[in-house]
Amino acid sequence: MSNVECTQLYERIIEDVIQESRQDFDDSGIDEQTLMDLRNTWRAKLSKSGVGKFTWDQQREEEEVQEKAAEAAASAASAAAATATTATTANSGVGITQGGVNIGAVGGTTGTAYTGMTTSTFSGGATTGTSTGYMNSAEFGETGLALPKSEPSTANIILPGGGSAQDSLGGPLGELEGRGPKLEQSDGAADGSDGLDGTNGTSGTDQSSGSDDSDLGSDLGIDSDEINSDLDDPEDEDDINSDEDNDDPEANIMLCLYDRVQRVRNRWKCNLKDGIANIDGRDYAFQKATGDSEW
Amino acid sequence: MNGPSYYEFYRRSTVGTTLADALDTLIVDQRIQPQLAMKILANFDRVTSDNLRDIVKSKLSFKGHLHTYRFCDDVWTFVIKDVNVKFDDNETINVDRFKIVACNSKKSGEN
Repeated sequence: MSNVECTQLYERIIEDVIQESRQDFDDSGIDEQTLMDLRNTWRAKLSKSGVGKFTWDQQREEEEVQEKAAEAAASAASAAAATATTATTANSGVGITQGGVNIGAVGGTTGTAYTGMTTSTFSGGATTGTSTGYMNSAEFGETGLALPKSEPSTANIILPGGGSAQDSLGGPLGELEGRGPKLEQSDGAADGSDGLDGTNGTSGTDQSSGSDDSDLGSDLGIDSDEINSDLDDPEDEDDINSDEDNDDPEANIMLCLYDRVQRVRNRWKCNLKDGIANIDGRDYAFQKATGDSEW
Repeated sequence: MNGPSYYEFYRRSTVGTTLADALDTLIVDQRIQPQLAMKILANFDRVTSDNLRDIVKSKLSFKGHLHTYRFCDDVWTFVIKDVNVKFDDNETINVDRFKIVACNSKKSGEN
């Protein structure tokens, strides 16, 4: 299945990148531990994103199950020394460093209890991380859709007619400023270049900025580049975002190569390959994809 | 690296953004230099392109209403609405809105 294959692909990518970066780390005089930390952080972040189920997650779960079993066995065995263990488990619940100290003093049985605690808290953190992520994108979607539709579109109508309508811009811009930075950040490419794309046509932009939603901005760009062009950009972007990028730009996106794109009247067909797609929070990889859509 | 250069746009995938995050953490903690991070990302571009080509075998198809199409700098961008995605195990997913960024396969490897 495509999702399983994608997690396999991701795991392979991580292993290969780490492998091939070893020399680069060595050349920069960075030690192996940093490279391993990079791999572990990368894995943890990927697990947190919730795009798939990875083998290291399963390993951790298995370890957790084993630890719990060991913990249960240990607690049964150490029933005789009950007073000592209950005291230490209570401590490890309060503070990790304290737990660590106590483990050294008491011994093996509390050691398992301690690791059990840390893994369970870690996985708890992971799930809350993803759920807040979804919340954010949902919020994003709503604000992106609802607000710009009403506010900036009226400003756009005023602008071409009024000529130097700096004052009429003032209102909507002021309101937009609050949200401006958020959207710029998520878009990646600098907003300054978007303005240039709109007015001057495209000149040697890279793929990422080429794929930005700058084309529609040209209608506005002609009018607005004279006055406060850099101030107008957030508005342009916002307008376009309301149309297209109304949520996280990397959500529900497919990154791939095209073999052929064909159009007959309003019917578009495309043959795509070597792609990674994010659909509804899960990632899928594919070798080939065919698309059929009507404009 | 004198060989063929690779597309950088796969960095926008989840595996790419999480790598960038992880590298960022190391840079902020002053454990690595940004120049090294750039090299790692270049390694990522190469590894991802090669692995996608070599190990992935799945296929999928989709149907929907083409909302926006754009062809700029040899990159196709489509925004498709009310999409039905069908995987090769006959599983289907419906999505309200879906964006495709596609680079030219012919130029792959020479960018």
